[in-house]
Amino acid sequence: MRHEKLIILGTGPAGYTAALYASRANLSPLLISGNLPGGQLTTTTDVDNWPGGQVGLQGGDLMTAMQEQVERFDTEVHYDHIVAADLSKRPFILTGEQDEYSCDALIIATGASAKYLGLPSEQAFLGRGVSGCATCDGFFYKGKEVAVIGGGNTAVEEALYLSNIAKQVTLIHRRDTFKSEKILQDQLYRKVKQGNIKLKLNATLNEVLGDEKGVSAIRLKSMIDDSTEILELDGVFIAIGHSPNTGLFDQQLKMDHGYLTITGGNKGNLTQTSVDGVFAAGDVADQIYRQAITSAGSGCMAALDAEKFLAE
Amino acid sequence: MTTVNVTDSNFQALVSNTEKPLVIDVWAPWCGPCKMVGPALTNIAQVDPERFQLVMANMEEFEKSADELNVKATPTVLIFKQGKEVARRSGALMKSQLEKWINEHL
Repeated sequence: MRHEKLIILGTGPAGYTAALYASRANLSPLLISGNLPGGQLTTTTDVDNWPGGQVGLQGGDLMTAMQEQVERFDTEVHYDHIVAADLSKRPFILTGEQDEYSCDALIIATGASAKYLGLPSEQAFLGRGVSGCATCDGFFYKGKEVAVIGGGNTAVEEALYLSNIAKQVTLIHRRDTFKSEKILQDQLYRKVKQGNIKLKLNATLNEVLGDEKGVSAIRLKSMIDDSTEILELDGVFIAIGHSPNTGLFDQQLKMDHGYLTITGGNKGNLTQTSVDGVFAAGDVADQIYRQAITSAGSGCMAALDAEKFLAE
Repeated sequence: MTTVNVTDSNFQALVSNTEKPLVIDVWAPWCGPCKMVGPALTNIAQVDPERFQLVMANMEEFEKSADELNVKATPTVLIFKQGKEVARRSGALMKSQLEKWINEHL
C-alpha cells in the first residue's frame, strides 16, 4: 500500500487547483484521476466564462493546461478510480481499481456525473442513439435530426452545439422557462428564430423508440394535459443535470441530498467535512453554484485547509 | 505489439485476417471519456497479449466503417470473434467493468 501525506480525488477544476496549491506548499500531493480524467469540462466545448480565457477556449484544452500546470510543480497524477474508502480512522484507506492507498489528509473533489431519466428504453438505446454527451457524439449526427432533453445550461449549450452539426434540433423542456444563463438563452432564441432549433416546452420524454439499428423516434408527454406525441429523429441527448459522486462515502460522511456537508461560514476551515482531515471541494459539495471557477476557488481553500490541518 | 491502429482502408482486411478475437475501441480525440477507456483497455491487453488483439479506431479515419457498424457514440468498444461482432458497449467504463465484460465474451 502506498502512503501519502495528502491525496486529492478528482481531476476537475477543484482537484487540479487543490493540487496546485498543495504542491506549492511542498505537500507533494498524489492526485487520483477518477473515471473521467479532466472531469465534466472535458465533455463541453467553449468555456466563455473562465476569467482571462482566450476567445474559443475549449473545456478539454483548459483541463489539459491545468494538468500540465500541476505536473510542473511535481504533483503526481495517477490514473485510478477509487471504489472503496475507510475514513473511520487515520491514516485513511482508499481502495482503487489499480492500487491501494493510505493518507493523513484527503481532499474529495470527485464532482458530479450526468444524470439520466431512468427509463428502461433510455438505457436500452444508450450508445445507439441515446447520448449523455453532445461533444462526444454530436459527430455521428451530421445532417440528422436530434433532440436535447433539459432546460439548464448544459441542455441549452448542447442544443446550440448540435445546431451547427445536425439538420434539426428540438429542445425539450418540462417547464416553459429556461434555467440557463441569459446570454445562452439569447443565443438559443436567435437560433429558434433562424429555424435551426425548435422548442417543445411543457413536455417530457416518455419513451425512446427504435429497433436493432438504433433510435428512430421518441414519445413525448405533455405536462399540461398528459397527451402524447411521437417525434421522429435519429438521436436524443439527455442533459437534465448532474448528481454528486459521493456513493463511496455513504454512511461515512455527512451529506445533504447526496452532496457532502462542509463547515462553511467565515471562520476558516470551511471545506472540512464531518470527519477531521477530510475536506471537500467543487461540485461534490455544491448544489448551488457548480461553476468551473467556484470549484477552482473551493479547491484552493481545501488545499489551504489541508495544509493547516497537516501542520497541526 | 499489443495494439494496432485501424482505419477505413484496412479494417475489413484486419477483421478477415486475424485469428484471435478482436477488441475494437472506437474513439475520438474530442471525447473526454475515451481518454480513460483507451488506457484501461491497453492495460487489460498487456496482461495476456495472446488472448485478444486490441484495435484502436480513431473516428477521424473510421467514419465510413463506424457508419457501417452502426456505431453512434464514442467510446464504443466492440468484440469480434471469427469476423463477427459478438458484443458492444458504449460510454465511460471503468477498467474493472471492461475486464469483466471482456471475460464474459471471450
